[in-house]
Amino acid sequence: MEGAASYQRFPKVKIRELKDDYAKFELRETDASVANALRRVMIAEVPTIAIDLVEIEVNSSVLNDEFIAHRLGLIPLTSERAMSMRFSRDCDACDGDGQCEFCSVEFHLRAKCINDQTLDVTSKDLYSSDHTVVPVDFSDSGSGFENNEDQRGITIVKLRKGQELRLRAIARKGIGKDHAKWSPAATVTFMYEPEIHINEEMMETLSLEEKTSVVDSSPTKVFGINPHTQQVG
Amino acid sequence: MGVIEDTAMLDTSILEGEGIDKQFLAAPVKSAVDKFQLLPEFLKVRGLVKQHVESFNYFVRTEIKKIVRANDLVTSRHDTSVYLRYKDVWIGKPSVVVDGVTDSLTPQKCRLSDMTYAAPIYVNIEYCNGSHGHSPHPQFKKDVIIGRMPIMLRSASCVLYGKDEDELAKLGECPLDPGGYFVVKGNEKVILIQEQLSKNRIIIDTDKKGCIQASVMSSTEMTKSKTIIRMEKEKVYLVLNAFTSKVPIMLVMKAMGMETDQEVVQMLGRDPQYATLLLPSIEDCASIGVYTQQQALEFLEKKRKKSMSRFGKDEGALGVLRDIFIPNIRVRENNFHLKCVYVVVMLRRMMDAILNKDAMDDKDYIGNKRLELSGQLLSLLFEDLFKSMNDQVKQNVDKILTKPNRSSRFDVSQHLLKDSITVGLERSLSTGNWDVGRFKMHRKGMTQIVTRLSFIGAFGSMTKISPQFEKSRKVSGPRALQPSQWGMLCPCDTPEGEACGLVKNLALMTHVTTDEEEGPIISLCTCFGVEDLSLLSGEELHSPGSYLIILNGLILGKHRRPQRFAKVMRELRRAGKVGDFVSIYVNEKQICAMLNVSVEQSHATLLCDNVIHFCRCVYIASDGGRVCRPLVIADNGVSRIKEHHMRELKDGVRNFDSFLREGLIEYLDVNEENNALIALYEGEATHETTHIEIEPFTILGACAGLIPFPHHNQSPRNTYQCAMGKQAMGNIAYNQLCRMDTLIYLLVYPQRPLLTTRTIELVGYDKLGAGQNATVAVMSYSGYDIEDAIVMNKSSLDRGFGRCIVMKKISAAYQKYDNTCDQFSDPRKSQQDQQKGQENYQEKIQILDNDGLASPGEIIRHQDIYFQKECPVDPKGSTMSHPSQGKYRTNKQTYKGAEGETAVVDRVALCSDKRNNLSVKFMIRHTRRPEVGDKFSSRHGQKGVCGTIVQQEDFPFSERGICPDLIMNPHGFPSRMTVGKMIELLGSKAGVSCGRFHYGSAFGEPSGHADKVEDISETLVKHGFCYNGKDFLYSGITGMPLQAYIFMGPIYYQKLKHMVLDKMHARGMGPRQLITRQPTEGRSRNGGLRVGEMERDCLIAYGTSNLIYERLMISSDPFEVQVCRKCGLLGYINYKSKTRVCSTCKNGDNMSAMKLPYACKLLFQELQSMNIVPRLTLAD
Repeated sequence: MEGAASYQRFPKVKIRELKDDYAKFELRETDASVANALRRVMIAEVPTIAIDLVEIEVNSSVLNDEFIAHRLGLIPLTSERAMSMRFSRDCDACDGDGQCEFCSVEFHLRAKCINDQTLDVTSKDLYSSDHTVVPVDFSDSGSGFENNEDQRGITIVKLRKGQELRLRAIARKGIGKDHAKWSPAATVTFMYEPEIHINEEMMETLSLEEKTSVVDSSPTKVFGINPHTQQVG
Repeated sequence: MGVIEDTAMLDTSILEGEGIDKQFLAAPVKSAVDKFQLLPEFLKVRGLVKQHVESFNYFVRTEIKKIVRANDLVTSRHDTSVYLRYKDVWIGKPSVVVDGVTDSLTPQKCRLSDMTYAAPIYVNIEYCNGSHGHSPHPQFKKDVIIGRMPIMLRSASCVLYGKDEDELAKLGECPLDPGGYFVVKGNEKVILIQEQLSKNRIIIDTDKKGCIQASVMSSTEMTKSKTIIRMEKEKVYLVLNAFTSKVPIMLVMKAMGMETDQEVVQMLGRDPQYATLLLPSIEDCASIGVYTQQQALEFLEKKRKKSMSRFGKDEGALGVLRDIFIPNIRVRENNFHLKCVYVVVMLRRMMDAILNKDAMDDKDYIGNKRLELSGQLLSLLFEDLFKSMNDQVKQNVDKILTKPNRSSRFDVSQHLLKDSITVGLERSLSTGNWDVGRFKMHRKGMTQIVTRLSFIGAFGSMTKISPQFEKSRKVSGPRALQPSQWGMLCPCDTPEGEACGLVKNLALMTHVTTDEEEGPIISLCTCFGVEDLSLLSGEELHSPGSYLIILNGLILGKHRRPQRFAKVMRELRRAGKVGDFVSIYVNEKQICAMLNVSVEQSHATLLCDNVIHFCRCVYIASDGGRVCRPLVIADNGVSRIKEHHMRELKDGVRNFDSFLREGLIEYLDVNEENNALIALYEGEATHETTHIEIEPFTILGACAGLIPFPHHNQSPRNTYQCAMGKQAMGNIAYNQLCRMDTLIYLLVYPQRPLLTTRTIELVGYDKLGAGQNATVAVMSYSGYDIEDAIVMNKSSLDRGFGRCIVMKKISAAYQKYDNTCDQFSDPRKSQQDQQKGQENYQEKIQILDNDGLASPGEIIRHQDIYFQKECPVDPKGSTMSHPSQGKYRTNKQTYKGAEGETAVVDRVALCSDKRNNLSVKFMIRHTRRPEVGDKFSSRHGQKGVCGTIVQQEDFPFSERGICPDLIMNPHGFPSRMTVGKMIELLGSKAGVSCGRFHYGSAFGEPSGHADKVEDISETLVKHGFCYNGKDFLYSGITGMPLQAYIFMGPIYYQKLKHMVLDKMHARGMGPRQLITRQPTEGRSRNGGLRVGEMERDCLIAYGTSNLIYERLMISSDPFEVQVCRKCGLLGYINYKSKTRVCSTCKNGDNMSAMKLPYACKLLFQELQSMNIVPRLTLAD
């Protein structure tokens, strides 16, 4: 390998913002293909846990079984355990039927409406067998719904008096390629960081009024004007 | 309502802008009032299918009573003192009698248990069982049921009438369902609106040879006939069915008592032109030698068809003239004067058409048409059945009375039949065949099952108008869009193909009138100075300046000041003294035409002076079937509706009816529209304007109203969408999950369109949508998007885009036999030996419950048994054996679905059917996600199939992280010119960014019911998008920016019912037909794909003879036959002696084997059976 120039790059990642449900970072010293590869992997190949099998015992709600199963599948679950879990297809403990503790998490849901008010069955009504895998709670992530008292997770179905829903659900590990429910991110995107060069010489020729109009022309207020030097930057 | 303020502001700005115009300043102050609020009120009061309901109500309230009153007496021919008289008739509440117990009915109950939603027809009768020598004393009976009348939903007799949303929900009914149909044997049937040429009106047109004729289709309670007066070779003839050949018209005049020619000519008018035209006819009459009435009648008697004695009495030629010749003009005491006048008016109009072609009537003109609705059609049927029933009663009574010794006491009232009316009505409604012998009516396809594919589809079948002509006629005239359709019939909603332009749909505000009493109108007319016709001499008829007053085709007389008369009549109508739907139309058309002539021919001024006042008529119409629509009345161009009216409307103080009653709004029919000058908007009104439109988008119907910005589209695109909107999946009704239709398509997550229209809100499409808002990128991608195919995002499909539920109904029944009946069977207990051995029988029956029925919620696969019962081996059985003793065999039904797909048993319903058998209905539910080949469409006639499904990471994305659900090829735009779709994209994009639904009602920009592109662009810019809706996208595959900016935003997409799963089909080996041994035909029978004639031709031309041989024989129906070389006929192999025999030659010496298609062998045998001998000559 001697003599051959190494094209190896050392991309740098700088995290700019990090919340429970939001991340923003800078990626430097590489090109768009790498950024795109990252994006693609984030969408499709990061394993997470999602409900994959639903056994319905009682369903007298207005929504049919498949409907509810589909809705359950799309509920995001906390997936810290995903890395230590096995894919049920190559789990030896259960011969691939995907119901063992190594490759699955069991959930139970029992809800019945007994009074005249409609009952919202939400993701909070799901009881997990594993306390590390629970429906993601958005209410405390500070997304602006804090003061909303009846913010109770994700609605699965609404029940009227006398209606009942009882089911057992099995969550498994999977990747976003198989089904969007295993995609950890709602969306991933990137953009080139704009690099703005101000032609200082030309800028000097402008009057103050013209400079302020340049500054004001940006809708996101990228530029500022130095009140002392009257320089745009 | 922010819109109101907007328009008001807008309009004031216009006012300020045009301040210079002095005339404008002088005009009374106008302020545009937003009249849109009237529309929801209109629909609240009238409903979208009010025409049907109103017509049915009229039938139930008035028509049925008239019919019964006209035929109220049934007398025995044998003994005239035995009679039965109907005193009153009315229709009760819907109910059914089960085992002698009357049970009330609701529509939903009928739908579910295959019953007919019908109510008893009650009569009060007076009858007498014969005098027996002394004076007869009549007996009375009340509330006698003579039959059951199917009840239209939401009509006054329906249980749903006047119910609010909660009560409707309790009855299991969808509050948004419009009603207007019937439930017959569990099927929802709607009687299509029938289009017809108007009755009792003179219509001038040409016959096949080009001769000008005046025809009248007369229709009275007694008779129906067609009278034609035709100009043939300069002579005028009468053509009437009752005469064997055409009759000279002068002869007819003479027969009616107008013996002198002068009288006729005088009546025709002094103008020599008319006399000249009539002269040949006069001469003709004289040449025959007919001068007196007597002679004329004798002549006619010879020409009369002798078989015309249907009325029992035969009154000769005079009778024909009185009863069959234009019977709508009544003859009282043999005074034919009125009829003569009518004939002369016909003559004159015809001659006018000869002199001036403009006077010809247009048959396609909507004003010359009448729409027959459910009520009228049912009343025809009822009348026929009622009369038949009475005849039957009479016959039965006579039969009993003629018997010499009667065993039981005789009672006429016992002989009223209940079934004939019930069965007759039910049969006609469920088959759609109207066979009314009495009225010579044999029409097919009058009813249709309400299409419940989508909510809008149901509306579509309610507003559909079926044409008068058969569809095969290749004429363009009736298919063309008529200017008179404006506002009455939807210009967009018509099917493609053979019925194009013939089948029409009602517009949003159209109302169809019902009959109104003529009597009061006639007396009103005479009060207002109409000079009675019978008092006028012939000469006076056409005196200058006077107008004929014609009521429903009946000449009442003449009036000297027609405009004043019309004005007074209209004022009376506005005041509510005359019916709302009475139309007054002053016809001055001929004047203009004639004035042009006078300019051209200056020497003929005198002549014109005479012509001008010809056929100046005031037509008053109160008959049923006219289309009309409400308009705002304007005085000198100023709307009568002021802002305070609308405010009161909003506060609920007022409703639509109060507007009507106070004369702010009136209904105009097509003819009266000709006398009105209608401004589209208040601002455009001039001094002459008489009316102002309520809203311009009401020109469209309910189906076309769904299209956003239809006025920006190429017109056929809107037509395509009208057809496709009916196939879109979505929500059908609020009670969709309680319905047991044979096939239901539902969308899992239907949405309300981001870009709505006012019509959408009015019909309730926003509550029962049929589509989803998909983010669409207009770009080329992957090559799987050619020919309108669309590329779909797999993750979107995972998340539920385009997911649908298909529910199918399967029925099974437990049959009853004479002594035995089918039994439940426990599949796990009663397994018979033969079945135990059957392959995976256990697996197949696993969804069955202990009663042999599949249980709800079970997953059902192809070939699973869902129903199993025990049938008696010998259903006739001996009377002795007890049901439990007889022998039974198991009978099962297997589910045939798509292989590899799993469906679910959704519901199982048990009910008793018509013959009181227990019937079981299974709803099988199948949830499907879109796959390649499924059909989608936007609301702009842009359909396409799914070409490929692509992973989300490969999809393009924007810097905001927006990734489209769907990619559409830009080639869809240039040739289709669906600009509306582009605006929809822009509008929806602005809608999602600002959080407000945008509007795109037709022609709505000036009134604020549609957002302007400029405003939309402004909103887009405000939210950081480009004004033109284009986005900067990155390729999902490489991460590089795309070459161009991509037009991207949400568009409402519909999933259409055509899905690959229902259509895909291929076969290798498979079933064959029994007689020909060729593969079966069609997907449902797992049939083969035919190599047809044309494919065969190609193969021949290409020269691949072995391929043809293989396709047409080896793979089809090969068969080995034994042919006798000597006689050329087919022989056989005797398998016992292993020899080949020719049965003709009686030996097996010259036999050879060869291969033939079995069908060929069959042909030979069939030919032989017909004594044709096909002989085969074999070569080596």
